[in-house]
Amino acid sequence: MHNLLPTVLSITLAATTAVCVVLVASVVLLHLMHQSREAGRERFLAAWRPLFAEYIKGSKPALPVLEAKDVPAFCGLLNYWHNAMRGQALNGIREIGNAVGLDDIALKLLRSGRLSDRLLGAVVLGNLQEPRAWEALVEDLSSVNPVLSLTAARALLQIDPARGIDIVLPLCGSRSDWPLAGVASMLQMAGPTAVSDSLASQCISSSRPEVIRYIRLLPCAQRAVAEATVRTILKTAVDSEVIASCLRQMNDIGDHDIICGYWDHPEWYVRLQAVKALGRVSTGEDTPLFIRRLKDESWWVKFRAAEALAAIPSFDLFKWEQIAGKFVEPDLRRVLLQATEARRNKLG
Amino acid sequence: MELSSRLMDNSHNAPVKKSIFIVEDDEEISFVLTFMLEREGFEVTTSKDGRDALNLIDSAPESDMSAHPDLVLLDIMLPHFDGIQVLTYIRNHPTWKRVPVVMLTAKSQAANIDEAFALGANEYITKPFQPDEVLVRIKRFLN
Repeated sequence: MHNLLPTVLSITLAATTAVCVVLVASVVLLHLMHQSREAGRERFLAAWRPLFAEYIKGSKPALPVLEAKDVPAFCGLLNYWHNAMRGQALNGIREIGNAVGLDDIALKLLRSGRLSDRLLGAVVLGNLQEPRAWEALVEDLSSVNPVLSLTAARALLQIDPARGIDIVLPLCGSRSDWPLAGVASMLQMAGPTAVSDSLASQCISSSRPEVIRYIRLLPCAQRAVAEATVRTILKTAVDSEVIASCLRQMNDIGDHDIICGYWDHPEWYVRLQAVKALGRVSTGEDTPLFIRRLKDESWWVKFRAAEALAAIPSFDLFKWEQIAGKFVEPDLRRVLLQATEARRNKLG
Repeated sequence: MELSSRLMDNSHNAPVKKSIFIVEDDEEISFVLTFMLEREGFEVTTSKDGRDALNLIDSAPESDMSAHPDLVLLDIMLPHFDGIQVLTYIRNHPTWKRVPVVMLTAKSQAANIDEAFALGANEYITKPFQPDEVLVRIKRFLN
């Protein structure tokens, strides 16, 4: 037993030393790799930043060959500048990309087996507005991967908004895996001129659940088209969620009577949207209507009615507090006082 | 030339280039703006964050009422102190308070714009921006 102990200790010490050496060597290696990457990045930026700046400014100096190892960094810089600039500067960004052959490189990336390459390719080709990528991007629209399909959709709308909208828009309703914020951003980028008519048509011809998504995208359309679409849908809509979605979009005083038509709707969320909509368009003569909603069975409807009352410029704050004092139901008094306080804070 | 050096060096008689102080934490945007403005003949100095900007403002001698740049191009979302705080500081500084300040920021809500103008900003440009538009708007204050 005593003879074994020194041996065990020696083995343990040797193993511990070996592990420490390996760990230290790994740290040193990682540090060297990081330094090398940083040096490469600095070298790349020193070479290409001024050239990007020249092209953004409108000049076209001679360009060095884009090395394969610099392609990801170049794509990153091009995509970054594309998001940071607008107007004529974007032409310069596209020109520098095409001048180094990035269009061909991105087309190859789009056909790669790796998802990250395909995504990068789609983003770059959209920013370059490369028409040769059209067919491949249309194929990627049907990908089960929502990031790839949405990125392809965005690229199509960048390349040709008028042609792309008829392909992309039907998917905006059916692809519930596409986040609505991402879809809205994409449609805003395409512009209301390209989007309005097709979106209005989809709203009117679709049924649940797609129609609710389309209604929520209506702020991307021209205002007059959006308002007309909502009014058309409400003429025949019986589904409460569809009605509530439409009321959410209403901002025009001309819709006053339509909104009031839903004042006593059986569903609380419809009454809520009606109260909020009337709050947006009311000119101050609807005080009795809002006071009626202060007795609603839903706390949210009561609160929004109190908020709407508090926001009416002509509404007298002193009288408002007297009204609050007259109600005996504790929850209603609380609602009114909360809204009063919110208005006081807003007025400073 | 460092802004502080230029501000303190009033000994030469040669015409002095108009100077612009850029406060922007994004390196790429700062680079392109500097590149573009220097091409237009301006002298440019930069700060990457609000604290650095305030230190630079404080370094200018208060006794010299000309010790300031001709224009400040100011982002809002900055580390340490944001652009609104820097703007407020400039507008309360005895030497810098009349320097034109052009905001260049991604914050495009009406409330942000109103706040900046209320605090004394002279111009407000939102990102994404057009470089030529920035140039035209800056030159309005420097001609």
